[in-house]
Amino acid sequence: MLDPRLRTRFEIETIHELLPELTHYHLLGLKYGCAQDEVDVAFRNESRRLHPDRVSAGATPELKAKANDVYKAINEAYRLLRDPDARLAYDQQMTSGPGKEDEDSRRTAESVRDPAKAARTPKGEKYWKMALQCWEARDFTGCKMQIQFALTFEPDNEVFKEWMVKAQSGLENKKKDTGGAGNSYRIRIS
Amino acid sequence: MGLAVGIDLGTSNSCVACVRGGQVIVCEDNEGRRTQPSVVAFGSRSVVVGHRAKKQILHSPEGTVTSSKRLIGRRFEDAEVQRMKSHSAFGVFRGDNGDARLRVHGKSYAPEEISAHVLSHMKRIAEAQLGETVDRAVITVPAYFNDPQRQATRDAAQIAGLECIRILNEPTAAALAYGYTRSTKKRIVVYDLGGGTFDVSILRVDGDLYEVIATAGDTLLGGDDFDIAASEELIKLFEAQTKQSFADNRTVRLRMREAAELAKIALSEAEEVLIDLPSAWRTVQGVDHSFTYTLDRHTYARWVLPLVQKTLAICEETMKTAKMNMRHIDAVLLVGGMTRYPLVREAAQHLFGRVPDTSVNPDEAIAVGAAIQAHTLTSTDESMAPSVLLDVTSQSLSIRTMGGHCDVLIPNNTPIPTEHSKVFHTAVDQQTEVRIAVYQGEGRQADMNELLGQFVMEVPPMPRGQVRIRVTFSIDADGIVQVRAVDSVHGQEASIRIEARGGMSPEEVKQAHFGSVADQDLVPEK
Repeated sequence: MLDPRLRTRFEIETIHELLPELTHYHLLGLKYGCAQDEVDVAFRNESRRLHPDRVSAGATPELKAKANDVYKAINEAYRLLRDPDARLAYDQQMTSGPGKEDEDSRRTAESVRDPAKAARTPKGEKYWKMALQCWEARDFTGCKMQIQFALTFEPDNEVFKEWMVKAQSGLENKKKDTGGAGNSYRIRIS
Repeated sequence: MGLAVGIDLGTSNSCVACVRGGQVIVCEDNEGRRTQPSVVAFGSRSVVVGHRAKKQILHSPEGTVTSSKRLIGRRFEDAEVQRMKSHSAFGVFRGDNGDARLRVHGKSYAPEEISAHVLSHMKRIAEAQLGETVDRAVITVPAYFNDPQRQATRDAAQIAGLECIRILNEPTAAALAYGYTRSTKKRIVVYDLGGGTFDVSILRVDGDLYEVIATAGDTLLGGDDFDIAASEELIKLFEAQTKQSFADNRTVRLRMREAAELAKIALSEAEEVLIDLPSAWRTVQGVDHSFTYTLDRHTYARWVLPLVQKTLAICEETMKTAKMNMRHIDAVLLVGGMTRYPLVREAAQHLFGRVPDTSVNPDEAIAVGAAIQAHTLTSTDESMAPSVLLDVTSQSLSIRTMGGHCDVLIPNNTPIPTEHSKVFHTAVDQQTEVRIAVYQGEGRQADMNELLGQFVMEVPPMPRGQVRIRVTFSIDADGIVQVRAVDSVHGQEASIRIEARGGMSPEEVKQAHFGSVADQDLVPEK
């Protein structure tokens, strides 16, 4: 079994890489439209898992810096989503951005065969299931993140890798269709 | 690499602890004492710290530094520094950078250096008990300490040759000491009244997760203030008795101060105490005047009640901020030496409507929590389950805008680490500098708050409004503020010059480092 500290390190590296693309919902591991009381619980769970102090012992300065960046983003996500008014404003900004219908990728999503049995380890399966849920919801960024998590447990899984490519192209199509506004999920405060 | 310990660097007393084999050890000195006075005495040939230094106060008051934590990270003009100046036997003066400095036997010291002597003493005590080198520490500070006070504490560690792995808030540390043996879901209040400061924090503890919901405090409210208040009353009585003014008599004031402290300690146990100073004042002609007074709890309570009420008002305000009322609270922890005083315990019990929890030792809980955090941050051995502390910033961070108002960027009680960006434009054609004054505090006007520094950014000369600078203000896990900027023209990190920022310069800190001091007289003896 993977050492829990090592696992957290992988997760932090992955999230850090995807940071510009992740929504506040991704960061807290929440579904868009979730109930308000799920926000607190999610924040506590993510804090337990990803707080920089969890990886501090023996970590390189780079990893510590990444963990800090990730956690700052989680704090910011929590600050906005815990406040119903701020959350509503954020949701509106999100849906007026790239969230429009995208027939192409919808068709792709419908045509795929059921890959639910691709995972070979319980841990891998956990993330893989979440990856497929993200795919169903056409949340390609979330999908990529979850596949990457799954790959830390099954680095040689060809199906995972194949889907990673699919998720990437799904994301690119989505960006193209919306005039490259893939980043507008992020709220900028100035 | 050596061991990492937790150090409670208190105003009056300090304590050091370490986690070993899943157990927390509070380190004892060679006489079995678990806390050490934060007192540094300078002799002609050596420096002594702790119990031996405290013994020296009577025969060498001007060579003995006490309560230097009240000066750390402060400007000389601060009201607190001025007050300290009039109550201390050692000299307090204005340093070149505007900070408060001390003068002992004609030599000047930064408060950081005094704290470094205390830290170094605690390090040696831990090393003697644990039999290993100690080179890293989690050091606690009052939650209400601002950025310069935190920075200065870090510098003190560096001077003492300790790597400061975290600046931890004292009430949070106490909560950790309380929670690590239990695995419960609780809301707790930490009421921390120490030698120099008062903090209150409300936390949600859920297993290994400690979430600070709100915190507030007063860095000018502690046991010292109780002693000052009581000594003022004693001086008034003595003045009435002798028909003399002692406003400028330092010796009498110091003796009364000491009598007030001893009376307070005695009244924690007894109902009344006899204060007897056989030669409280000696006239120029050599005539001795004695002072005798029987102080009872009731009179003492009347003298210090305003201070106790001040702590209760801060508690009520914090409960409001946390959107909680008293029945949401599952436990009340009292920490800090002053909470041993019955009046303080009763007041806290009355306010929160429950008997305070007595399972943590008020003198040791903070060091124990710091040791647990040091273990989490440095050790991969899982003999003690790691805990996660989600702390908040105790004071708002703001910048000055037109008209001297404060524009809050990061409000108080924001979870840390955190950051906030803001875009600034040039206002004048060919402007080459953008200045941003950063403040900390809750005042609506900038001059009511503490100026952290003026950040000056150099920008390329262009028509006004064309240069946009994105400035990011961040507060790290130590509660220390960092500012960085990116200019829109180059898309690069802009250079920032900091003006009007106090504290020791990196060069000064390096020079003060104990390891590099050639003068053996400065090396504290054991």
